[in-house]
Amino acid sequence: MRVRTKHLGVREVPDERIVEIRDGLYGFGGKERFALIEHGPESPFFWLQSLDEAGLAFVVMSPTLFRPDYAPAISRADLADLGIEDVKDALVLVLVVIPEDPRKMTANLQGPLVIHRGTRIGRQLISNDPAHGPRHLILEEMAARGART
Amino acid sequence: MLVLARRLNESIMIGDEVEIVVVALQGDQVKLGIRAPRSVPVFRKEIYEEIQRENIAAAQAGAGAAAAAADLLKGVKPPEKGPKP
Repeated sequence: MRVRTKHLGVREVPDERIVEIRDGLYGFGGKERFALIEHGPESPFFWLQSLDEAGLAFVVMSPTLFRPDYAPAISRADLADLGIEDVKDALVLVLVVIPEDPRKMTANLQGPLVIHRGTRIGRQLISNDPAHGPRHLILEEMAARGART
Repeated sequence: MLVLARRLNESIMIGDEVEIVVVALQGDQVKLGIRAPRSVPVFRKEIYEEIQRENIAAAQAGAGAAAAAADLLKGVKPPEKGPKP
């Protein structure tokens, strides 16, 4: 479908990249339909572009890039509501905040987006793991694991 | 805001499907039990507010900032693909 984006003009997005985030993101309720658009060929980011508001887009990424063992502590009830049996089968994306100094970019591991790969329906859920906070410094995490940057 | 006084083991109903029970009283702390359908998220307010703040910050990202950040991550393991049909 044709999508008016915040930063990329009008883009043609295949159906399999359209997701529904039930109840929207916290602070942005009511905006539930999004397109996942690749940021660039060598970029780990996706734009989570609202279909309901062209000016609303978030940067998201897979947390496994800097936290390979990331598994949000989600209740079975939350997963069942999405029809997900094991969170490892779901598409898990985290929101990225990029401040003026991009080296200080952070990822929100406490409020991931958990999306059923088949239905493409998901929610922003809260991880109950005390080690998952709302602001993890991405570059620091990667450096701590010896990743090449 | 509706203010109701409850004693230990008493409940409040919110609509037909949400129940809040006073489970324990310990000093200045009240322990609340919540029964809600699995589609209704329940969590501590400060966490809710923090996630909301981070979401709002995440929505600010400009194209330039995203490009600069992506450059810093270039060359790391290939990204995971989006949802498949």
